[in-house]
Amino acid sequence: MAVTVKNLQKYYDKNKALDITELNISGGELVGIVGNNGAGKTTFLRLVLDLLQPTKGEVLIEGENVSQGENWKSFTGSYLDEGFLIDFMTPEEYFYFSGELYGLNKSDIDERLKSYKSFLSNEILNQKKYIRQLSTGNKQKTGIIAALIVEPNLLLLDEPFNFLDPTSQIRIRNRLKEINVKQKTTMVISSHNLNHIGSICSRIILLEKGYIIKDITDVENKLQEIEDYFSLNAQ
Amino acid sequence: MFLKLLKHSFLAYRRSHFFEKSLYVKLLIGFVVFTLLFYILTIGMALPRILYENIPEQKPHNIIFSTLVFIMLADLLTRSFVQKIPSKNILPYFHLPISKNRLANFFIIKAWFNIFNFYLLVFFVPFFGFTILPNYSLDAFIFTITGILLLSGLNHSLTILLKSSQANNYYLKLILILLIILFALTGWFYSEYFFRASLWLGNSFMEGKISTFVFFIILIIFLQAKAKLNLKKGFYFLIESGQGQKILKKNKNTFIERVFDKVPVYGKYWDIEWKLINRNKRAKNNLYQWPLIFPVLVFIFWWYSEENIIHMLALLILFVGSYGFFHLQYFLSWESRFFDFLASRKICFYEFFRAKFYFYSLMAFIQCLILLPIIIFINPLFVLVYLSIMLYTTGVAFCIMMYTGVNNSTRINPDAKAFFNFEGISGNQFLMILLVLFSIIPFIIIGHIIPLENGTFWTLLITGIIFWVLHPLWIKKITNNFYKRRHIKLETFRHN
Repeated sequence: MAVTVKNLQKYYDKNKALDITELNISGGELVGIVGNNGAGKTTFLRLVLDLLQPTKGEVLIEGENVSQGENWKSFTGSYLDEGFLIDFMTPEEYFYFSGELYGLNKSDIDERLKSYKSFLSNEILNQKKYIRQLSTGNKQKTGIIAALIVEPNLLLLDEPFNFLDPTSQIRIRNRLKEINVKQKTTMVISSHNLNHIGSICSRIILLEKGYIIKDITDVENKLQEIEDYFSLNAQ
Repeated sequence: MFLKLLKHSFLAYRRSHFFEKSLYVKLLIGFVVFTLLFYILTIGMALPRILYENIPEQKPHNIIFSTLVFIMLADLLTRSFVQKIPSKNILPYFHLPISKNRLANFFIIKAWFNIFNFYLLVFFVPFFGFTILPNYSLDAFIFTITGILLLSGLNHSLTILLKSSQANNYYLKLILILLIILFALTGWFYSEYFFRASLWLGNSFMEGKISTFVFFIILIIFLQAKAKLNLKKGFYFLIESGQGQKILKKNKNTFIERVFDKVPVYGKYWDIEWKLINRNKRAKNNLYQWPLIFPVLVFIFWWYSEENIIHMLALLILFVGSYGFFHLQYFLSWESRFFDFLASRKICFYEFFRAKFYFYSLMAFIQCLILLPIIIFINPLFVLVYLSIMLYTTGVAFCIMMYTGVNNSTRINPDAKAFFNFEGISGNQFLMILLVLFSIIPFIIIGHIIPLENGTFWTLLITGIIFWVLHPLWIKKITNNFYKRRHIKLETFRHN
């Protein structure tokens, strides 16, 4: 599932938040987006999901302009923040509803949930709680699972490791890699965690002040380059 | 899918925080809402007789028809500021595979389920029921009510169009306000024509002129279709406004903040207090309503004489207490979102509470300074009345509110909407208000017993002064109570 970005610009008032001349993400790639706060990572993901109106340019998913068509939605899964959760539902209701939109019935969802049992750790399902009553970490898990459970061809996650305990971080990291390899899912993941990003991504894009500073495909050998960049910035 | 979304709306309502409150609080809120509706209903029922007795040469319904345009303009103006669009209901659906068309349809229909589309009926149904129904026919009554609904629908459609526009909302609001001002000014200078046009409109409805109904229906359909088109282009404006993408234009300290910087000990707490009420919607909207108290107070002092002003004592306690009376009802609940921060920092709560007390007392004093010249002009004897009530409210009432407020355990989002927002309402709050209002009864009785003119006000004044002199002591006691309860409070703030 390819994502193509052409001359994409986004301004908030007069402040430039993002300016990407060209970016191509091929099907099956697992792309990590890193950058300091305000680099434009979330803005980029929102633009890909047509949640923001670009000031200029376009985003294409499988050749379809996201702001002009909606077919891309049926094979795209995403979780950016709590705003994606329907917080007056229980997690089960949310999973069922979300699954239904992708053509899955309750038994499909129940079946798929089984494989996330360890990740759910008895704190999310059958708790008789609305999503809004869950802890931030459990809300994060709910959102990520809802995005994964529908087995999308394109997956976008914003800071998926935030608020998660170390065990869950490692579990989700491994699961993402596994899905990417087995299902050939295209993934775009933004994170501040270089370790996780470095260990699973086949390509890393470094954003700074809205611009792509580095686009690294040889992650294994060049991860140090990104670490050095941040170290230099910190001095 | 549409039905599913409607079902979700119902679930959102049924599972809202309101229904999580205790039965006791729900009954109290229900009682307040019922009382308000009852007042409007009573006005609708009593007004025909009042109009008939005071203006016998005109039919009561014709008088209302003549002012229909103005009533609807006031409604439109209120809606443009207060009526909310159902953005929260649809934001979580954007990333899911649901077409924009469906979401737009849902948005448009969901928006109709708004109290603003029905509240006028509480007044108009009894009013026309008493004026049109007995003198004309059932048809005329139904036609008139339908006409009112259409006018209300027109205002609704204009509001939705305005708020669903992707253009800068401030400019659109400005244009709307300018248009309304222009309308009002023209109406003022050429009122005769406006009254006649308004009367004609009302009579057209009552007589069931099809062309008038068709005109409004077409207009509403057009506006709704335009709003839907706006939405279909994208819901970006909802996301951008919902995600707090607004950029602060000013980052400099305001004059007030610079003044607070110079105030020793309490300045830093006043600065937090000011920012809290000035940068959050709910608190700010109520701050903006504060000046509305001024004309009401002037009217009360102008309307009532020295003998019967005492009948307004309870109301005066609320109004003279100024903004502080509203704010302190939710004592410490305002800070519930960052209470962990306050509790984990080296903050002297005794000073913090004193700072709060001085801050809201200061607002009452400022109000007093503004109003006193007018009150002296109306009747110099009212100076005693005003000062006694102000000292009593800031001394005794604020003490009661802070004392009982330490038990407040309901969270408040100060940045949520101001109207029809029941967040923070608790049994404790009702108790504190009842305590404040009942506390004046002994003073009224004393006023009747002691052989002193204005005895009630003198005793209120003396009591107020005593509480002011003793305020370090009772604030100390409140602080001690707070420290005993702080862990319970922190716990409840986290979970409520």
